[in-house]
Amino acid sequence: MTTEARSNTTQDLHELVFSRAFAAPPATVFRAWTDPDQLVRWWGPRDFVLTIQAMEVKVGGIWEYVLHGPDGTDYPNRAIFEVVEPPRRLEFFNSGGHVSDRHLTCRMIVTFEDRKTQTLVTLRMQFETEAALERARSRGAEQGGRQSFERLVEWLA
Amino acid sequence: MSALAHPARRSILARLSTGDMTVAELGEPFDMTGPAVTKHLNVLERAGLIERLRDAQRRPCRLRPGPLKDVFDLVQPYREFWDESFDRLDELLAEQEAENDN
Repeated sequence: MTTEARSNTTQDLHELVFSRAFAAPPATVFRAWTDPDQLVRWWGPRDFVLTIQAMEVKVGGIWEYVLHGPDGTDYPNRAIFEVVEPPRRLEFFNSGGHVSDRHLTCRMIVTFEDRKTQTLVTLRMQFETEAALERARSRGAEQGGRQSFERLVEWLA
Repeated sequence: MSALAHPARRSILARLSTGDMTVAELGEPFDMTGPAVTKHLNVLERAGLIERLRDAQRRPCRLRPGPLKDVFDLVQPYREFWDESFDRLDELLAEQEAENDN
C-alpha cells in the first residue's frame, strides 16, 4: 500500500494532498483519527513519539500534542477542530512545528470515503500562502531530508 | 536504475553527495585503477546521474540533481511523514479488523 501525494497551488490555494486506501470501514478509520489512545500508536514519522495533552473532538475543541523527534527535538502543536462529521470528514486548524518558526501551521482537511471494502482517506494540508507552504516544505525537507539522506546513504552503501 | 546495481557505483554516488571529486579521489578507497573507475563513471554518466565538469585539468565529477532528485522526492518529507504514519495506521486497523472477526 502506498500513499499518493501531490501538491495543488493556484493563486488562492496552496495545498499538499496525501491519500491512501485502508482496509477497514470509515467508522473504524475515523475512530483511529479521533481516539487519543489510537492516535499515539500511529501519528508521526518513523521513530517519532506522540504525546497528547488534550483532545476534545468537537467543533471548537482543542487538541494539544507534542511530537518528540528521535534526536530529542520536541515539536509542540495546538489544533482547533473546525468540522467534525463522523465518519466522513474532519477539519482542524493546526498551529505548530518547531517552536522557532511554527512551520506546520495549516488547515488539515481529512475525508473518509466509503469504497465498499476500503476507506479512501484524503488529507489536505492547506497553507495560507505559497510562502507558508514553501517554508513548511523546506523546513520539513531539512528534518525529513536529513532522515532521507541517511536512508539514501544506507541504501547506497 | 541498473546503473545503481554495482556497489562501487553506489559508493561513488554516496561520496559525490558530499561534493565534487576527481577520478583519482574517487578511486582512492577502492584500490581501483583509474580506467576501472572511469568505466563506472561512464555508466553513471550515461544514466544521467552524474556529469563531468569541463574543468580541463581536473575534470571533477558532480552529481546531477535531476534523476537523483526523483529518488529524493520519493522520500520527500511530508510524504514520508504521512506514509510512515499511514503504514502504522494500516497495521492498527488490520489488528482491529482481525479482532472484530473473532
